[in-house]
Amino acid sequence: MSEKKPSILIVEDEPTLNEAYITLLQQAGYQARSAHNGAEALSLLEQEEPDIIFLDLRMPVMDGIEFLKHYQPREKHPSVEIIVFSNYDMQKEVDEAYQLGAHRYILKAWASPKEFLRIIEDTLTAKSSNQPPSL
Amino acid sequence: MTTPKPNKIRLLLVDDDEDDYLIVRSLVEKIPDTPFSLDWTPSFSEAKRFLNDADHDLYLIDYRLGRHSGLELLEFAAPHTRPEPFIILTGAGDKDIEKSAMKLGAADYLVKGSFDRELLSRTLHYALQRKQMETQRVQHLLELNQAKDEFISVASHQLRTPATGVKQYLGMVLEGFMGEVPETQRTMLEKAYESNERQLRIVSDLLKVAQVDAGKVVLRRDEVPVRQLLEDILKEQRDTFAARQQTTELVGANGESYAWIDRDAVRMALENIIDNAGKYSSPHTRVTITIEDKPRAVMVHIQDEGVGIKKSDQSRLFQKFSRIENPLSTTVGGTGLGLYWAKRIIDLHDGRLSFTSAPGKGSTFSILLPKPKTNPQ
Repeated sequence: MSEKKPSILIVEDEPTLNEAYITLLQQAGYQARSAHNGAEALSLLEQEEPDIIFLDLRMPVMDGIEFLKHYQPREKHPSVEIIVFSNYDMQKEVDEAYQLGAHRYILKAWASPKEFLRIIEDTLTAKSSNQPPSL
Repeated sequence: MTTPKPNKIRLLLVDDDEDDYLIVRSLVEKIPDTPFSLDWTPSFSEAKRFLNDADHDLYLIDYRLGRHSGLELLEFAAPHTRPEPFIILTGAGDKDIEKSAMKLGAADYLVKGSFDRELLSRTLHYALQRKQMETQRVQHLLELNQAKDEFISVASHQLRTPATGVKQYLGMVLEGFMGEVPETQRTMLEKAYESNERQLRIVSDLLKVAQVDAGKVVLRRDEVPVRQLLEDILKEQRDTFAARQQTTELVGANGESYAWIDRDAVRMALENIIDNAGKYSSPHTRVTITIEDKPRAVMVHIQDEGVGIKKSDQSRLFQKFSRIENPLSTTVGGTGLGLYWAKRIIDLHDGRLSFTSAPGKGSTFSILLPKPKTNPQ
């Protein structure tokens, strides 16, 4: 991997969980940022595009679906990998997220810390092999 | 013959005798400010068409309909399932017919030749009123049931969040992110982690069952190569079987047998049954999976050498929350929902899930999965 640490954005309203993922990501050597709802995420994203966004769906202020509608990943941020990370495995919501440009859905409760980090590694590997460095 | 009259309560009289029709019509017309409009058919088959169209608010049906009877028509209409009341017209003293008509769902009866416009009017109004109340009650029950489904869904999803927190923090400690964990503590933390995992599994099972019970499972069918699917499952469960010192074997269908199924749903059902086969077997046993290609279906037999199922327990196996006692049941700790769900899912596919079992020798679960229709009709 390059000298710059890959950056991950966690969008998760539950403070305990948000903190858990951030702690884990920092321990694993990633550049980690966190938002607690879609609106917070949008303002953070004005500064910089991360490599991966983990997006919860049910959140106050602005939920994940609404966030995707504003962020328009497919049209405006094709290089950002969006992983829907929700404990609500309702087919309809997940389908909608896919239609709005999410790349993957993972049940939050399924991912142990080890699996969570493996998902990130796999995603980053796939990203770098799909997209040769643009310089 | 039926011209819809706005704001009128539309009655349909089924009677093969025109004179009777004329009598009923004149009575209906004599009701002061009659709210009713009356249509008539003498024909049994036309009556059936009217019933299918469901353009009327109430049906008056004569018991005698030429070669047919009013009871036949009641049976066809199934009044319990409809919002309109049915009133049967009988001759005097036909007590048995009245009883049968009530059993078939008639709201009331009138004895021909012995009712006037007042009795007719009252009977019609009461029948309509009772039916309306019944419909409201059914609606209320449906709403309650839906509220229950939603409650289960929301509550179960909510339960996942704290358990996910436990999983993350315990997981981080166990995986050494916070420094080395002494062996004695590790053992305890692992138990806590496993206990939490079990809670998460129960929540998932509850949600799956709630969905299937609420009729909310939509199958996304595809042509799925069955052997491939089973190989994937066995690959994923390899470590679990190895940990129990058990072996697995997959036999049959080297040429591809395709089933017309929802891959994810059937995969979960098969995973559950294969996992059970291992869980309810001792170490050093084997689970044999055989694929049998049939003309219209693919059969999968999952055979274990495990504890088996007692005859007296066999009928309960697919029931919700049925925990069946056996030498391994306390250590396995299932939820009693897995097989119920698996059966419901296979049934939704128009497939079949069955088993044979001998206590102490083992069980064979057979899953029949339909093949894609070669010439779609």
